[in-house]
Amino acid sequence: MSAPSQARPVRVARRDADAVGRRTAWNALFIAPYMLAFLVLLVVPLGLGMWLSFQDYDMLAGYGGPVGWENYERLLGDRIFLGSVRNTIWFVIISVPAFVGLGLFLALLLNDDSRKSSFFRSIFFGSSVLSVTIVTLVWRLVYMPDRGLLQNIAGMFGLTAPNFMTTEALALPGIAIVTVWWIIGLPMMLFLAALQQIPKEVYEAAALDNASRWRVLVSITLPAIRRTIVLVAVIEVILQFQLFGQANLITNGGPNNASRPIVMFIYEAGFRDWMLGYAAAASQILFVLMLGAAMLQMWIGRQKDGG
Amino acid sequence: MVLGRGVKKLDLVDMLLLAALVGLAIVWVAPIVWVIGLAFKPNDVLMRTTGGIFAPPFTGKNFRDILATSAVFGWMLNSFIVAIGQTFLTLAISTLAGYGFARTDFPGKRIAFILVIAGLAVPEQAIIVPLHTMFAEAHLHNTYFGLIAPRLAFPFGVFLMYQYFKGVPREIEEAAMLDNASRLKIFFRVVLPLTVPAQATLGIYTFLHAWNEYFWPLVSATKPEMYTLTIGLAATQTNFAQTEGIGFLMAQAVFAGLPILILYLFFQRHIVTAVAGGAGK
Amino acid sequence: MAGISLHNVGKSYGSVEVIPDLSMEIISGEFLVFLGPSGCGKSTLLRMIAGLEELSNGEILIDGTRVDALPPGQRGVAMVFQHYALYPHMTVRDNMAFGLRNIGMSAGEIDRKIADAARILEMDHLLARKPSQLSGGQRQRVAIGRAIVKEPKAFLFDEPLSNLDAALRSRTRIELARLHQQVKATMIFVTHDQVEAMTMASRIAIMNQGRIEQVGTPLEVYRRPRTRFVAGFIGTPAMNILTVRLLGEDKGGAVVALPGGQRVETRVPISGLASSATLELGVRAEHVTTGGGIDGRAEVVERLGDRTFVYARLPDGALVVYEDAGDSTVSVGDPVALGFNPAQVHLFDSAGIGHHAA
Repeated sequence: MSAPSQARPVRVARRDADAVGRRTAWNALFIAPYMLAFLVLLVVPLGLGMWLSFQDYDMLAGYGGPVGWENYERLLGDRIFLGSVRNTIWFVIISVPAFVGLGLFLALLLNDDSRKSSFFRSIFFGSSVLSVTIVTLVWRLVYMPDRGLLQNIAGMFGLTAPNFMTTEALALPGIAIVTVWWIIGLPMMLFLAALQQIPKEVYEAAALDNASRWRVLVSITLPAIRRTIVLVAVIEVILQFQLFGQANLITNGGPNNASRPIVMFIYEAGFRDWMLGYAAAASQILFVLMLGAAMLQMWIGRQKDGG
Repeated sequence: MVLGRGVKKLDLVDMLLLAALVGLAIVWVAPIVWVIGLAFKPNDVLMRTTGGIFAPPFTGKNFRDILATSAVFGWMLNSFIVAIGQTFLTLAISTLAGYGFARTDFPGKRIAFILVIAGLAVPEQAIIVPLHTMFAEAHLHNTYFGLIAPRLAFPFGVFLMYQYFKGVPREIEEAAMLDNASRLKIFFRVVLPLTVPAQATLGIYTFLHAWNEYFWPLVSATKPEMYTLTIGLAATQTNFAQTEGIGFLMAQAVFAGLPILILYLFFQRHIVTAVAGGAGK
Repeated sequence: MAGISLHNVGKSYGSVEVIPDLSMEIISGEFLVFLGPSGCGKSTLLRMIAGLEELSNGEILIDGTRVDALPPGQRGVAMVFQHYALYPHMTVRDNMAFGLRNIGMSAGEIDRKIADAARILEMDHLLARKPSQLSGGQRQRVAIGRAIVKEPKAFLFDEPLSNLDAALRSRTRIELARLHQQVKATMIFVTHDQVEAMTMASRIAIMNQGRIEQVGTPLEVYRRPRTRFVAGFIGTPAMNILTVRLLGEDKGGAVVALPGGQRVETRVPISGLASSATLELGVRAEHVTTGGGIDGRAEVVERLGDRTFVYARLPDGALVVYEDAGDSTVSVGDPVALGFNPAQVHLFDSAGIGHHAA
């Protein structure tokens, strides 16, 4: 039965196994409208931004020609920029664990079909639909030194509330609290979706094995949603690196630049001072930082996977 | 209410967890209740104290002032036009492209797809400066198109629809091919009706994102009559600690936040699955 | 109603050859079953006939006309898919009408055809429903109905019974056989289930690794398996296969010896056997007799009611299954003496080719 399989020339059908129908250039029309938007509004500006970052281009002073790495060199010597990088990384470091931890905590507590859980889920998710402007408006009133909600509550106990908006060390944590309050809904929902994927039989087996609640959490639940934990962490790192609106509206980067993030630096350099080349260079650095942080996290996630 | 879904009576741990949950819920609700309370207080009272919001005097003046003077209606209309326009265009081009990538084959598809997937990594901030210059050259700032267009380029929707189409059984389309349906007929008559859940997900997600968009409208809509709600409110709240109109400001926040909160309560189930499903992919 | 010719058909995905080179004729009006284990290329072959897969090599003719370059809709074939592939948002009526509307048939004619098909399949009461409101068996009928209304030259079935439960499956088998009698069209049916193949087929094509091992009527492939693969694949329990050694010839048939030395006479002509390096003997359970010279010990006894299968261990370690009466008194551990019916013994040479009694 083993006929010697002689090498025969075959027409190599290089086609996508999931595609339906024939390979024809006409099918490219399906992606044409999107590709047009993608190329004109994303690829071109991305390339233009990279080019700009090597130019001396100031809207007020005019175009001064290519300058090589000068914009980057200036950025590395710019105390305000370096401060904004430090602020952004610090903000990511304090907010991401809060998102992951609190999101997971809420999801674990609200992972059932009861009316009570659904009610609490609506509350914690509800604030996510508000725009940043409304959220900051609300929280500026909460943080307001003399008549804010926080001071009202502290006053009841004869205390003075910490001033998040005017204390350097508290400005970023204050913004982090607002941010968690605003968009804790997303990580919570992602964790809930993952928890619902865990088969019920696993818990029943654990119950038969007399596993304690803590043991079930550590040995069954957390390992089962490990991928989601990494995913949420990556998503939150990417989102929180883009901090802008809250800082711009609550503290305006202050006090003494203590809460100015990179995006706000880009905004000010590009759209207040109109130093386009300089702002573009700062954008590239932000892009690289975000990519690096996300890749580092995925790498860490994978290490744990293998180990 | 238990961490491990065991079958147990309410014990001490459960009570502590419930207490923590209620405490957190109060933190989430209190600021909003308080702000709504402030919106009904006279401004001169608020200048002295913001305590006792549940005690009289109350007033509806702040809301009457909005109706009479505020530009908030115009901003809201702008926000609706931008959000709805962006939602429809995103749905249209993402669905077409998602189908094209998932179910058709053509020369250059692989490279185009890799390019688009790489585009997922590009943040808005990395391109906003050159994009602003391009739009300025094309005189597109302070237009609805200018506010709507930039988001269309981001690949998230294409990726979401692509994933969805991958999950639709091929057999259905193959049956349609054997039924002599053309490629376009298959897309519009057979496949498109199957994508309604994914369209809802992407639509809600896009709408919310557009409605709350901050950075691009901030730099693109510079004329007050082109402000979106988000930008308009931001413009009025600078230096508000010194202003005498806290009540008015809060009324404006309530007025602006209410439509989206009501929409949220109505479509809660869909919004929640949309956001979770969208980001989970 | 049409014959289908496959000429040197080949299919590769990149460097993976699914079907190297396959030729066969499907006779007009027959019920041909492609039977084989999963991954043998049978579904790919069916999809190539339908036009859902392109050919890497060769050509396909329907009614003498080359179709391999035609789009699926223009080949005049209808297909019933494994998961039915009904259009979920259309009613049963619209599911059946869709293909007819696409070729511009008049509404009156469409209605008449749907009414005819609904009568044949007894599903008039389902026409206004959506697929989600139907049971698995009903969906199956709609899928068949959608094929019938097109009055195709050939029906293609891709494992359409695999999602039905056992009872429904055997009922649908009978209905399909009846349908074949009624519409008298060419039907090509792909399955990995030998019972489906044996019960419905006019002819069975047994496939293995992209090649056709044998084409024949159900009895031909059962009685005279062309290869060892066919012998092992067709029949339950599977044919006993034992390694043997050629001793010589007696009364025009080969005589072989089992590893334990026991002599077995056959009616297989010796020509062509002598050159084979190894030989295997095949014999079905019903052709193993009791009271012969081969000793063994019963190890497993399967009682099916009407008959009993006894698995006996020979001294050399081989396991031989034989069929005994329903009220057999053999129990586990009993010594048994077996013999093989010489006229029903098959020999397989080192190339796996079967040699049978003349």
